[in-house]
Amino acid sequence: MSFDVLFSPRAVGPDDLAGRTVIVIDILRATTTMCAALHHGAHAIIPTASPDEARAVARTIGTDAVVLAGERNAVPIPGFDLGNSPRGMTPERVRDKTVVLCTTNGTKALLSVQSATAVYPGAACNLSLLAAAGPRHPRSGGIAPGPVRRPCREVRVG
Amino acid sequence: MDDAYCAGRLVTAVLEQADPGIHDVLSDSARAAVEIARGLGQRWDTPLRLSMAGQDLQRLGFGADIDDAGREDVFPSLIRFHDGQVARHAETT
Repeated sequence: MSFDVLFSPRAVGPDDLAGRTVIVIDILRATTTMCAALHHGAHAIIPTASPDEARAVARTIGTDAVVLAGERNAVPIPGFDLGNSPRGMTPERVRDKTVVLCTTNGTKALLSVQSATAVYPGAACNLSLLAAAGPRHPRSGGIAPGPVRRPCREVRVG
Repeated sequence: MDDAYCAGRLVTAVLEQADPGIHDVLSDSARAAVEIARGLGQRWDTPLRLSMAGQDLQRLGFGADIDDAGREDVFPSLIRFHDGQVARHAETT
């Protein structure tokens, strides 16, 4: 099995990702926040590329079921329910809710790798489990060990 | 620096848990990430606070988020981005 690390979301095109498992890392703070929200009972997180898109997605779901969260250049977005702080994703705020999330880098990085076979957000908070189970998880569509030099797993930093 | 360090820690962890019968190959960038992680040591707060993102967060009053981000395995959930949304995929018990 081979491993690559891409230091920028712009380092690869969609066609390069077919057949690969990609781990997206934006430890400060998007992927950490995603882990916190889901750990504390959020139903799901919908990453969006812009505040306007986030608002539009939230409207389609309905305000009672949605938490609108995000930042621009680390600052919470006016009118949103939450910023992009992991500690803001408390059970009281996110349990059974869909979090519509818009961040400067992390959500865009996720959206840019949708053509990969499997995509896992990663951070320190889930590192050991990700290392042990993620790309080899039987339901992940992850890549089984393949020929040497065939790129099959990437760690992408957002 | 923060994300590169995390990537290096992740690649290192994968290699430590790898089946010895599997031949793993690292690209130059993966090797570089491993070396970054090795050079900065085991403390997460070092690269997180030294990074530009970390310095911006401290300046804006979000220093506590750096502490949270450096807590290893505190949310032991495998989460996956699929069909436009991120959801839990598996977790430890």
